[in-house]
Amino acid sequence: MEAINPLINPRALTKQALAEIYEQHSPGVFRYAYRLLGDQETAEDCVSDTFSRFLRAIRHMETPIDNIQAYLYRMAHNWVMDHFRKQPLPPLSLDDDLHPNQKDNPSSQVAKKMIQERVRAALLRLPAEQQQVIQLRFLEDWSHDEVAAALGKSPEATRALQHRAMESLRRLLIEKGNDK
Amino acid sequence: MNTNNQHDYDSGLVKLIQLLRETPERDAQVVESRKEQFLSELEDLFAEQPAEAVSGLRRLFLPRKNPSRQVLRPRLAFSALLAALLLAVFLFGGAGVTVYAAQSALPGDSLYAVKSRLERTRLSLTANDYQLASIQLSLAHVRLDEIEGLIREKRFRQVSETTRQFESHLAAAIEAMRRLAEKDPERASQIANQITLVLNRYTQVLSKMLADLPLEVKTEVEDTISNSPVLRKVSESNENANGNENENEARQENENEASNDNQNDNDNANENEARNENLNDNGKSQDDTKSLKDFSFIGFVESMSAQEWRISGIRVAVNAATRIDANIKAGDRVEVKGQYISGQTAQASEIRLRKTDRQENTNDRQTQGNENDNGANENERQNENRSGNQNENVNQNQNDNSNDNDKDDTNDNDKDDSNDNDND
Repeated sequence: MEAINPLINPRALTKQALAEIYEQHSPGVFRYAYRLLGDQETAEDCVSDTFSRFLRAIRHMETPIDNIQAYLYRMAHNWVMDHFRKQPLPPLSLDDDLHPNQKDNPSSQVAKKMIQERVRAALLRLPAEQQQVIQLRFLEDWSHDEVAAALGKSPEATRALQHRAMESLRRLLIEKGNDK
Repeated sequence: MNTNNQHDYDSGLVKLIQLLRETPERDAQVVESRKEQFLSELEDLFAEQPAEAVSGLRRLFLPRKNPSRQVLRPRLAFSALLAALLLAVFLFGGAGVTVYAAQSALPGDSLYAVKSRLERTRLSLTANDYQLASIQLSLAHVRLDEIEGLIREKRFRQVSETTRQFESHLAAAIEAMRRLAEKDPERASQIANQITLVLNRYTQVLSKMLADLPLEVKTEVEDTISNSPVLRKVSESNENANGNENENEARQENENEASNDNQNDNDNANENEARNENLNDNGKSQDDTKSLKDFSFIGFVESMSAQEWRISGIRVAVNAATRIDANIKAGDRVEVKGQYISGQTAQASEIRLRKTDRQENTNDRQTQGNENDNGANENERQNENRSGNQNENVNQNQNDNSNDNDKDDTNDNDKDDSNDNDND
């Protein structure tokens, strides 16, 4: 994540600047989307639509953007949420107890893939903001302060959000929570 | 990375979450096509701004006698475009595919406007002369591909305009090379080499094209060619080349600037003769295909594999018969000689290390002199003399561009207006 985020006036962005934003951030948006979607082609669609929406949005945007990356991730996340509103979430199989101490180092790729799919399915069952906190904290390695700024919350509220997200995940993954 | 609080949680749970960290490598072709799609949208976005300004002015100064009609026109124009795009999406199966499909569109195809817009975006986002020249040259190759495609499909009517566009790209590349020569002669020399290759291929395509064209279109294309500043200069330079072949070498961009005046003085006297000679040569050059297919250039090795080397942006095929100096590695300056196979693949017959600029220039002149002696073909003389043509080419290019922009603005506006309508 960028160390300093100067305020950007979206209406002042030149064509060149927007092309550079695409170059710089589209790989990150792809990763962000893929981790939730688990499908390369759909993740590419998400990247395209996110930047397309971004272009349309900045034409009418009055307020400056302080963190373009966070802004794009939020748009991508909304896209994913929309996507799963139109089709069912991937199944969260409950026939296997996933204790992390036993399975945190899966030997085979197949087993690893299965666990990945289950973690993804569990993550998608959390409320949107909790999903964002988990992604940004543990997969993008952002600090609490950075996540707080991105979500427009206080760092304390972000910590509480993370705590609730981890509890929910623990129930879903390890303590055989209910499949919603 | 801030992991202060991660140990507050079950570290096993964090490890499970982090299994999602790794993501697959993206398909380079998809990435490129999606990027082009974005750049196309970006182009649309910025094309809208002047349109809005104009309509604002119109509102200020023109009474709106029939407002409904003003709205109707762009709607109609857009609905035609939309129908074409929808058909393309239907045919090719997806929005992203539209841009991808546009890459292979020929002049006159419904998707050709998309292709042209992508190209303009590429050019408008290029600030440095080296890249600009490279892109202009790659677009020149694309135009040649299109000319070949049009002839293959017997769509002769568009050949003339595409030929004009080819020359416009070439002239722009030469102009960029001229500017580059002042700052970075090394890279200008690489561009000069690439121009040599484009001109070689152009000559081949021309000779084949004129042989294949039906008589009624042939005259029109011949007119385009004979009025072309690029070719006219090239053919005029051929006259000069008879007297002083070696002095007009392609890589001496700086020196040739000074000789423009002299060449212009000769223009009128030589024009008719030069054109005739050029066309006649093209007409009969079917017999000269062997000599036309030869190429030679000097460049820097960028990558090497068993089948193909990339030298200063040019892909060159190698095989067991290619004589290659020992110890060549990426970054080395080399001289490549070879022949075109089926018009497009550059097959190297030898690749030699070239040490210094001075040596290169000396050897180069010698090489080209020999080639002229042996092949006596027009093509190589054209290449040698292109640097003298810069001024007139530039003017032509500027005119061409402004025409293009006018046309394109209209299209873009139509599309943008209707986008708005669509959203409403």
